[in-house]
Amino acid sequence: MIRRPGALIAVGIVLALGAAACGTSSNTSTSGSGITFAAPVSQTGAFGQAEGLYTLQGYKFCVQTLNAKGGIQYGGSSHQVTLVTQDDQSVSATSAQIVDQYNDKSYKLILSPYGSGATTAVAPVAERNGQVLVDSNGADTAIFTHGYKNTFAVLSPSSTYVTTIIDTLAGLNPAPKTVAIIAANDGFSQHSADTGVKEAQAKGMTVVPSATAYTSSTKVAANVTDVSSALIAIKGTNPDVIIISAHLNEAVAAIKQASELGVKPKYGFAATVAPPTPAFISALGTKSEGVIGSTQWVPEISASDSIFGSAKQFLTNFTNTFGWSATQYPYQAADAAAACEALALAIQKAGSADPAAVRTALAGLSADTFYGHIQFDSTGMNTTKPMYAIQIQKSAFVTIYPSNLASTPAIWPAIAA
Amino acid sequence: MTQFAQAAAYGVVQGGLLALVAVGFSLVWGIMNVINLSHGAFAVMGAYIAWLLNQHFGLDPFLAIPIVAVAMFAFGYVVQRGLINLVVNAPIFLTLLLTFGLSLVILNILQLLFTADDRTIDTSYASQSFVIGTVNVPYGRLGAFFLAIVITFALAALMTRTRLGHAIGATGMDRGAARLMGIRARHIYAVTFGIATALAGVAGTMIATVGSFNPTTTPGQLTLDAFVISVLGGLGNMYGALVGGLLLGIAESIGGLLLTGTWVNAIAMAVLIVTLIIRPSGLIGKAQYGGRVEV
Repeated sequence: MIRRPGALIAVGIVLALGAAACGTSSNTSTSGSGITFAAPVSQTGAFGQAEGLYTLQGYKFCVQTLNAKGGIQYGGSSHQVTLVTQDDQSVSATSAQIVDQYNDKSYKLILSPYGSGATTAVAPVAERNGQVLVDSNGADTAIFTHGYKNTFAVLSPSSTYVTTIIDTLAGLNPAPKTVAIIAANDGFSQHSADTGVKEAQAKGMTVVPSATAYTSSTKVAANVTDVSSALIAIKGTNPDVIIISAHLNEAVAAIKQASELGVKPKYGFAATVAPPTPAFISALGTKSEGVIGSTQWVPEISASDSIFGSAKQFLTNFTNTFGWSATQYPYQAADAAAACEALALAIQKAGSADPAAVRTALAGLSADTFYGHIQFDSTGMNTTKPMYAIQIQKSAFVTIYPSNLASTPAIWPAIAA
Repeated sequence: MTQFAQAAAYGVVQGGLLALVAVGFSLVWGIMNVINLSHGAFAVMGAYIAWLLNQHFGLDPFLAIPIVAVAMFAFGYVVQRGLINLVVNAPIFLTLLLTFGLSLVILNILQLLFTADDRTIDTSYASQSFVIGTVNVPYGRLGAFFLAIVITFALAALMTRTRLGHAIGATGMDRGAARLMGIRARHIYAVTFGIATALAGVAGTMIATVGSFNPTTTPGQLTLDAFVISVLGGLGNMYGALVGGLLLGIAESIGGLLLTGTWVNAIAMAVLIVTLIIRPSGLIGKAQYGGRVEV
């Protein structure tokens, strides 16, 4: 018999404490006419190793660049920016708590955490507190259905992730006739899959094993490393392409396990946010070759601004600062820098760091930046910016969609017959 | 039917991998009454050693297993003699805290050395499979499955047919009596902990071969898996981890197919609860381990 039943409870408590103990925080106070941008960003937990890190680096790079250029100019003087960050441990509720604590410290200008889940949790807190939230990496359109007035997202919404993949696939030769969609059980991934299914059907593709499978048999828990149940459900349907609407862990697992289970798409794999991240290549090695991914930003776009310069200059300076390869850049950092830039432009436009004035300025912002055009609709979404697609070729991100930005033709079919 | 057969086959080989993760954890818990929360960290250490050997010398992970096992055995032996032994008589909360703290130290060092990126040992065969009818059986997980069986039987033979095994068993049952028989309990505990640490390293090598690992999310999951499987299989029987791992692997795989993948964790916990209600000592655990004497 197992001795000391209390030990079971104790283990549970200690394991739970483990997650909490991993957190770190860094607070920096502002001085004089400085402005504080505050951001709860994942530095540990499911997103801490990759997406949260990239987001944090984007914010840091933006603030460094802004300050190096003299800070934000208004009222005839220059205002240096201080970035305050705290680890949300990849827990949405913690993100919301941190933003509430920021309000207690009078930090009213908030940059979002990584991910739709955390941003969904943070947005109502910012709204209640009169804080202004600029969303860099929360793409779920559900965030913008609540009538929030203080939340603005620079990135394209979740509805465009899988649809961009479908549009990319439709332009390839041979174009797939059947696709299977694995989707994680989170709002962003499910919504992306939902609009993707509709786009696939509109392009004449058949979704297997069924159009609603992403809500049942091919749905997997978020952030897991075993997606065998979804792959077994696909087995036998022989799709031309398998699309994974999920984050890094699920996408890595799907591609590794597909090979093990003999689930081999005829042409190749595609995924939403995972392929355009360096961690995807390091986790999969050669198995990442040929995988297509939708992305918010590519350096080939002809866009520039006075802070970061051109898209290519942003890439060079950012990758040099943080030691990334110029061919394996995390696009989430560009999202983050763009959110930070939008906030700075709004302050400049408002001539004040007062949150109400900044909120009004953001609502009317129309700016061309290194990231593309930033302009918010009445719900706070930036629907003016398109999405792009990359393919991993020889461990490098190669832009393949839209065709006018394609630096190298797609290798297709990506999987040898 | 094809999908059911595929899920069952995958569940069996996945169960072997899970058993491999749990066998060392179960051994230490059963013999030393220490719930080693650093077990997952040890497994990840082993994974990094195998990964380094593969990256720098091109050594196949299966060939790296002896090196990983020896290195991890030595590490485990030293950790037990220098650290765990200090609290082996202390209340269980203290051993939990110590092993948890040790885990944090190890994982933070690993993160400093290797970053938090996911790593994998890329082989030509681990992700490939052979086909029986319409069922694919992955080579990598099958290798881990056979490894789990070989290790379990070897461990059972060690425990029942060698003087060392008898000494370990005796120390686990009644440390005071074992001492009176001339057994050096401290050394036996260190050997036991060393064996468990080596087995964790072997499990980590297999995890790195068939999947991916990192120092942030992998260790906690492995420790939790090992804990659940040990409780499920029961302590005091060298086959407990194997039985528990196989049951969990099959239940998760078939349950995931029938109820969708989002129910996998709930299925695992349901199996655990039902098993504990029916057999509180685990599937094949020995009840006498609940009444042993410690002096």
